Amino acid sequence: MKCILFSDSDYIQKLSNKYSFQTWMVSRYDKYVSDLEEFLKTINEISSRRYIRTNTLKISPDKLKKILLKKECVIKTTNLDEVFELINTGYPIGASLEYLLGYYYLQDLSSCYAVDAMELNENMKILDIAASPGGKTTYISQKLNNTGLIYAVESDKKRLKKLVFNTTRCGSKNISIYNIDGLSLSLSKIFSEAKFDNVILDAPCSCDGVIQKDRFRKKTYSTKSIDYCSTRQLNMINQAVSLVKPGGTLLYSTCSYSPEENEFVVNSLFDKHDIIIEPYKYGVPGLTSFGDHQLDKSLKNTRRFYPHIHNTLGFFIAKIHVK
Amino acid sequence: MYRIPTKNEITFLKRAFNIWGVFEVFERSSILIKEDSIDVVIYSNRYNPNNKSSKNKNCKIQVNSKFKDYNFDKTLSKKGVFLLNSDDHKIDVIKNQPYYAGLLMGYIHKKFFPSLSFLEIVATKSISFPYIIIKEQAANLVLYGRDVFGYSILSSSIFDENTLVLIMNSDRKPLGLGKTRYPSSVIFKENTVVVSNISDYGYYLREEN
Repeated sequence: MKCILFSDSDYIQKLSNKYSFQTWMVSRYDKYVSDLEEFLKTINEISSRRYIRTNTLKISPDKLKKILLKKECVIKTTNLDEVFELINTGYPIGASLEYLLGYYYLQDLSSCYAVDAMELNENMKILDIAASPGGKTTYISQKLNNTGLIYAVESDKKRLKKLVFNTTRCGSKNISIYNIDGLSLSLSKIFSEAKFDNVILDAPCSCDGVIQKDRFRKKTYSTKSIDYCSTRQLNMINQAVSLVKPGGTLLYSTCSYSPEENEFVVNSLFDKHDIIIEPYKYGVPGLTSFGDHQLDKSLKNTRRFYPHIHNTLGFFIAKIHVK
Repeated sequence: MYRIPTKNEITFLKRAFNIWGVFEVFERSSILIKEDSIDVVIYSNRYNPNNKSSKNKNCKIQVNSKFKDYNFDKTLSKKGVFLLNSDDHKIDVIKNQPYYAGLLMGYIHKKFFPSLSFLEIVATKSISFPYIIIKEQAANLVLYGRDVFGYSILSSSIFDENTLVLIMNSDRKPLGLGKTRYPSSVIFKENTVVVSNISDYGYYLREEN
């Protein structure tokens, strides 16, 4: 899918200069982001919020809260019981004994929403494609209470180490890690016949949703990365959906704002698969059109997350029910 | 290659789990053995006898690692012991042979060398196991891979020298695995390293970086 570009105006030019964004990016954001200037300002000037997710396999949220308060951390509750926002820590939260013992995981709230949107019950068989570093994998593991079986698939050998590190730290016994490319799952003997209750595909993406955390990306971000990623995502989502049991769910997510990597990818499934897009209680509705392109109306049930509205990094979630 | 443990290995592991007071955990668990090399380092390279700066040159414990910075001892068995959540998972792992499955409990090489995950089970479930409890400042140093001095010890179980012990902080939270240089009766020696750090939770961070 080719990146769709729009002509710019003086207003777009002004905002691009003011917040040091590439003009083509701002002209695209203008088509779907509400309160564009506040959005650009938040990304450009305000540090991203920090969240921790309690690992309930090891400790309850209440107990963790007590420990953090004892250490004079200032924390705030969020929409999710097990996730806290860190206001002030006073010590390196990613190097404490509690972190090393796997009591919590440093994870953005938007990423936690992706797992929360899945309907998970004990003893389910789950497939997590592109699983490293393991934030969602270990969250699913705790939601299953260490029962069932999670197939965590990661193609990059270097990233596998991180995945092993995090699953070990979090005490997850129900995970099997496979070094397989998400694009060639159907060629693998293991996955050619397997069907899963739930599949989660947090697809590799162009990552403009994390610019707030890594502002250097504003300059390096290109239309080519959108073209490249969306093509890969189309292949991956088709493989992923074919691995879901009838009645099961595919959770598709990215940390990109690009409609070509989000709604367009999900929209492509309607041609070949019998699916329903289910709503989720948080986030703003997804797009049903972009430029001259009209998409399926049910794509409004997908969800978008923006830093200036939701206090998260940029994120996209589609909960796809496979009939 | 993941496989079911042999009869001898089961007996060996039951004994090892019993020493650490978690025999019941073994009884209820699905254990598998992985024969080939495992990409997880559980012991630091400080114990390399070829390394002149090594603090304990006689220690035979070596690194099981592919990482070039670590010394790899070919004589060390590469039998990893893995704990899975169910028999179904166990069957699935034997059939599909993943890269990694469940939780690494430790390694078998003549003796059983527990992993950090195993130590955590011991700290939470066992009531009888070899341990030392150390002061808070020393606890931080252990997490940087440092050894334990006698003056840092608050209390301990009864053990001989050269015993593997669980190092804990005053909240009884596990910090790592140590090897005693003295029996427990003389462990409180001032200004002397009394327990060598074999592995610690700080490894997670050092490895991550």
